[in-house]
Amino acid sequence: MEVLDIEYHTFTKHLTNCTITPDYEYFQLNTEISFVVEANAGYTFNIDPNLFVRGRYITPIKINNEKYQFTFETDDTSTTYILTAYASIIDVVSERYGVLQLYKISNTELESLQNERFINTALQSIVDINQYFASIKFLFVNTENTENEHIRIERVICDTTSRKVLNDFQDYDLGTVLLAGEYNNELDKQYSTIKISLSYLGTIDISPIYANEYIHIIIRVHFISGYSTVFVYHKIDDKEYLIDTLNAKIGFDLPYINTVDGTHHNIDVKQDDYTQLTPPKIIMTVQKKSDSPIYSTQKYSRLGDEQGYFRVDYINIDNTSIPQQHKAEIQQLLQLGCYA
Amino acid sequence: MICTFYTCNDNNTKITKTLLNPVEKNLKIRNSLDFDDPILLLSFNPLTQNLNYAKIENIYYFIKNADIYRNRLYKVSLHIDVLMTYADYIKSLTGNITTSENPNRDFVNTDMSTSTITKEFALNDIFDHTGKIYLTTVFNT
Repeated sequence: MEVLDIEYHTFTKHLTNCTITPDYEYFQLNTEISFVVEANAGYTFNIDPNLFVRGRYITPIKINNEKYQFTFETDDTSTTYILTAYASIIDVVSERYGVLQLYKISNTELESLQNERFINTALQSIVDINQYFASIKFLFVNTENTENEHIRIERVICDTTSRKVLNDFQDYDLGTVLLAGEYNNELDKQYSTIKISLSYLGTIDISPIYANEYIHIIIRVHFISGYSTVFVYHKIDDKEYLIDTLNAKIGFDLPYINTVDGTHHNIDVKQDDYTQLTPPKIIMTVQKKSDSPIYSTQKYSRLGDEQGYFRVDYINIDNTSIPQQHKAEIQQLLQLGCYA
Repeated sequence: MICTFYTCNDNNTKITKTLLNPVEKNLKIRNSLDFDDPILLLSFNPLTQNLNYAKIENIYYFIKNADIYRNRLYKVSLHIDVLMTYADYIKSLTGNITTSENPNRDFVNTDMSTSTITKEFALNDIFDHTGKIYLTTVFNT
C-alpha cells in the first residue's frame, strides 16, 4: 500500500478464484469507479459478487455467469468498501440439468437440513423444502466434491452446508487384468468359466475365449439415478473392444416424506442385495486335465522341431534312395506315434 | 565288416536313440546278407551282456533274439531300425502333426477331468463400503 497524502476510501477485497480489473487498491473521493470481477478459467459465480458500503450493497451488472461489472460514484467522506466475490468450479450437474443440484451430504447435515425443513420465505408463506427433493440415494461410491456450501433448494439458500458433486457421472477404473489360465493354450479357452464379481453390482459371466487375454473393466456411475454401467473391454495391444456391459443399481433410495403430494418415498432395497461385500475380483475356474502330457493338436511343422512324443498324418516320402518297404515302415511308425 | 553292439535304453519308436557301451566285432559275410533282417552267428550272446542294439555300416538294428545255434555259437536275429537309420532325413520332413507333447497353442485338446482349479484375479476396489448419501434437489435461480 502506498502512503497517500489525500483522503481516500479503503477498499477491502475478499476474492476467491477470481480477479478484478482494474485492480483498485483504494478509491478516490467523489470519483466514478468502474471495475469488472471475472471468475478464473473453469470457475463460475453461483452467488453474485457483492460490494458492501455504509450498510448497503451496491448491485453489480451481470455480464454473464463468469463476469460482473460494478459502476458507482464515491462520495466525499472516506469509508470502507468491502468486495466479496466467490467463484466455484463450473458445476456440470446444474449446467446439464438447469434446475437440479447434487450434494454429497452427511447424515448430520441431512438431519440439520430437516431441522430447517419448513422455511418462511418472502415469496411464499412457508416452503417445505422436502417437496424439492428429487431423490436421496445411498450409494457405495465416493466422488469429488466442492468445499462446503449452503444448500440451495428451490429459491431458498439453507443454513445447512454440504458439499456439491461437480459431475453427475463418474468413471471408476477397476484395472486391466491378464486372465492367465492354467495351461496357457487353447485348453484354457475350452475348459474354463470366467465370472466377474462386482460386489454390490452382481456378477458378469464372460466367455472363456478371453482366457489368457487382457480384460479392462470400467464402472460409470450416475449419482442422480443411482444407476451404474459396467463396461468390460477386451484389450489387444493398445486397442480396446467392448465385449459386455451390465446395468445395475450401485445403492438404494433412502425413504423420505413429501407432505405436498403425500408421497412416501420408501426404501426400495432388499438387504440381501447388499450382503456381498467381497472386494471386486475375477474368478476363473479351469478343468483339470489328465496326467498325460500328450495332446491332440493340428500343426504343420518340421518333424525335427518336435520334442517328445508326436504323431503325424500321412506324410509323403519322396527320397528315391530309400527302399519302398522302408518308406512304408517309416510312414506307419510316424502315424502310430514316435518320440523325437 | 565292422558290427558295433550297443546298449540302448530308449523306446523303439524314438527317432534318435542314445547308444551306450559300444562293443566292436569284425564279422564276415557267409551267405548273402538280408539287410533288413540279418542273422549273425556269434560266439557270445549279446543280450546277456545287455547289448540289445547294433550298427552295421550305416544301418542301425534292433537285436530281436539270440538262440543257441551250435556249441558256443549263437544265432542272433536283427531287424532294421528305419527311424534311426534315416533319422536325419525324417527330421527334415514337414508334416501335419496330429498329436504332440508340444501342441499348437491355438489347436489343442486332451482328456479333461471334472475336477477344477480356481484362480482369482483382484480388481481395484473402487467401492466405498461405508456408503455415501447423495441428495438431489431442485433449485430455482
